[in-house]
Amino acid sequence: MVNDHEKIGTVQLAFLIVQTQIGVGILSLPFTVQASAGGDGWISVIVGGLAVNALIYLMIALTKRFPSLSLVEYLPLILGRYAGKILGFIYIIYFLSTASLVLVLAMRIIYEWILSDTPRWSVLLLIMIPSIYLAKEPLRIIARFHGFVSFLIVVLVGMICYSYLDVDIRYLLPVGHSGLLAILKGSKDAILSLLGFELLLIIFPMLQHQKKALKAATIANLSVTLIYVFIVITALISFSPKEIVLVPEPVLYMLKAYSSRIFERLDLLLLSIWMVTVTTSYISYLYMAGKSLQQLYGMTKQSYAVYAAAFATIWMPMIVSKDLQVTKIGSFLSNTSYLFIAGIPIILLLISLLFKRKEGID
Amino acid sequence: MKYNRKKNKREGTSIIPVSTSLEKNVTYFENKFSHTADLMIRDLRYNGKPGKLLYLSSLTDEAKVQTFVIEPLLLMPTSSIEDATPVITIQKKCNLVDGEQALTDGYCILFTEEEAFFYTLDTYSPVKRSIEEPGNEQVIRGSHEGFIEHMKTNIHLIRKRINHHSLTIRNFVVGELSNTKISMVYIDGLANQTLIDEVEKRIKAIHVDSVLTPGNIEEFIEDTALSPFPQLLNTERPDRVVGNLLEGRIGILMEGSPTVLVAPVTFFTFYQSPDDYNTRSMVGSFFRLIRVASFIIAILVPAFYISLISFHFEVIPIDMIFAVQAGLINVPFPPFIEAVFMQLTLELLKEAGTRLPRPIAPTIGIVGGLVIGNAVVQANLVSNIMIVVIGITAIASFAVPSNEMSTALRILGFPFMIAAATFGFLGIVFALMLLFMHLSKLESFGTPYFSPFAPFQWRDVKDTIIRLPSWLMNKRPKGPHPKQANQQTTTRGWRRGQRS
Repeated sequence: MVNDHEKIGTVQLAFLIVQTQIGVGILSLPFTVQASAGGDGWISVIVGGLAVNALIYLMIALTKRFPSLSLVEYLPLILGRYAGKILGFIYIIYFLSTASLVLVLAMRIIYEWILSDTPRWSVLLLIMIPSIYLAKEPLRIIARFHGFVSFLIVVLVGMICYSYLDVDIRYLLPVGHSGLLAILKGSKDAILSLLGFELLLIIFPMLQHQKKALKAATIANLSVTLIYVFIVITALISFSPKEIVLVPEPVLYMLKAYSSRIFERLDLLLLSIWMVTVTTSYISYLYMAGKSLQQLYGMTKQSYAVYAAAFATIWMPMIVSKDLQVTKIGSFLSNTSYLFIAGIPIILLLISLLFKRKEGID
Repeated sequence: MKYNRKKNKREGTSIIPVSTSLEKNVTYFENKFSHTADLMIRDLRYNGKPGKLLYLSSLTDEAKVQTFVIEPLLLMPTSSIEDATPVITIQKKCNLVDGEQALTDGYCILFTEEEAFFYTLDTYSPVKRSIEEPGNEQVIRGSHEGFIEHMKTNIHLIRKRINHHSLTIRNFVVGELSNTKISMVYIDGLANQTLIDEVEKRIKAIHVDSVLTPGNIEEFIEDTALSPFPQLLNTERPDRVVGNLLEGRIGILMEGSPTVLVAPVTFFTFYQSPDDYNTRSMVGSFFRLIRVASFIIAILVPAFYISLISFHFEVIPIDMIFAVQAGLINVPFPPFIEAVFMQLTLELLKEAGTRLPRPIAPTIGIVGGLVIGNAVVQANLVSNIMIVVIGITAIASFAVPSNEMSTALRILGFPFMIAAATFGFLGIVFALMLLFMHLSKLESFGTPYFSPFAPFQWRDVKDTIIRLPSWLMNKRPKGPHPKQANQQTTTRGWRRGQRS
């Protein structure tokens, strides 16, 4: 089904997952986990990371049963023609709304921090033109780009190290003071920042070495978790528990306090780098939606599907501009996303196991 | 033109037999060559029969015709032509169409009365300049030979450096009117077969009246036509071509042009200079890094300055603000206009400098450097710092060893300036992303253009942004998929012997 020229390697898979996972959430993650788990937010991130890993295992178990088919292609095999197609379409809507949400959240931060008066449509175009340019390409090219920009994560982490000039480790102590329930509640938020691994559902048939997929995805997910834990700990020990409630993007505020000799505003530099990782997430979701759309309707050209998908993501950032709306829609979408990354895959796996639905056996 | 091509095609495949009448044959050629003034016809008597010798005086060495063809035939009128004439290439032909080609190749052709064939004798006189150092690709150390407009000499220069039977040359003829000879050079057993087939396929797919420069061929065979980046390496240096051949790449030579195309290439091929391998590896690496930095400087510095001034003034450290402020205070234009104005002036100067006759060229330096550079600041049209910025940018773009890449860089500077002027840092970030997406997307004959970085291949970084010592480069770069990965086994074996 997929020719060899299209396929991607194991390392490329890992970078694809990393770049899709790290997205908008990274700037506010310490704030969100702190809100529920307090000083134990970092434990929440670890728990969240492990939970995501379990989900990755689950997804691979499911998609492995259909090694040459992608999500919308094997849904009809599990659920029957009509239900399968409908669920496939719902998944496309999920990808599109996640992409849209990425745009909304990214634009909120852009407007708060950099360009406050620029017209919304122009910023939207600025983000979308490069994204469409890449998302309409074959996966191997997207993987090349995602792999290349991954060096920026190292720069990002290096910049965050700057804030170790002034930290107080006592903010973390005593470990576990917020209680198990709070930590679990925090991990629920952490999982949202780790979204993106559902990419596996779409790109599994395009892997060169499908047996190594689990290993690659695990390594990718665990490194992202590790980076998140580092960031959360840094933020938690840079700000006192009372301060952090006031700063919704602690990572930026952390750097805003410092200035180097040749570059006064490090937070602007960080924002620029962060923009790249956000765009890569958006591109991945655009690709997922576009590819699924193409397969669902049997389109010959992926580019048309991607144009359509990109067009479908515009509505949210154009309509939603008020903070309250963003928060509302954001929380609604994040709650439904559990359904798509955990609920439905579990049910699908159960059905395909019970009724022995596999590729080749109809 | 279209009519011509069709006609040529038809004749190219047809066979016109030699007539037994001498006059008829000669008339055929006279008509074919439209009674051109340089078609010479010499009557001979040979073996008791009358004969005619035809040649184009503009292409043949007339001394050769005289001493190697006419003289022996007159002195030994009874032996066969093969025995009599000491010319290297003699061929017996029966098709008059072959005779046309032979004449335009500088051969002379010999007819004898009552015989249905003729001889072609090689009397071509190549006109060529001497081998000089190419002016646009200078090196400090290393070979100072450059290619010339004569293909045989060029192949000689390559063969001289690769003394091995596996160096293979394939000839093609492109252009219905110009009949340009094109040679594909590669090392058999090293260059990937799919690559060879691909290049061959693309060259054979060219159907034009004429190709004048390798630039034509380049545009016909490159993968992505609409890209600012050159996708084949243009070089006039034999050592550069040989180095690339030895990594499994393919060279394309063209008769009448000193430029050789090399495929496939990656982005970093344009940043390699033969000088790097002649200097010590640390020095070579340092210059490689400088060149990569020059890439970033050339496209980013003006954009960065524009976005600093128009969007992010707060980024400038407090001690520098006064200096910047003092320069800007009297300038009435926004920085974007300043930058574009200066950048265009610079391009104008460069272009004028290239086209000017050599004796006048220094004037440009004086007018450009002194008059414009100084006066523009004094007239408060452009700020002092902008002059510095543009100056650095220009120098950075000249540091690239390849002229095509350097031009591409300077053109790319403009979109970056526009992006910076409209969106500040954000604009630069997205322009950069678009640039690197484009680079990741490009492929040159199946090799990813931005390869060892996208896709990342650790092993190949050794000869891109740095240059490791030669004894560490045991493997060839993976880019052109060479058939043999190893290029050396032991290079410093003497050390092992010393230690034990």
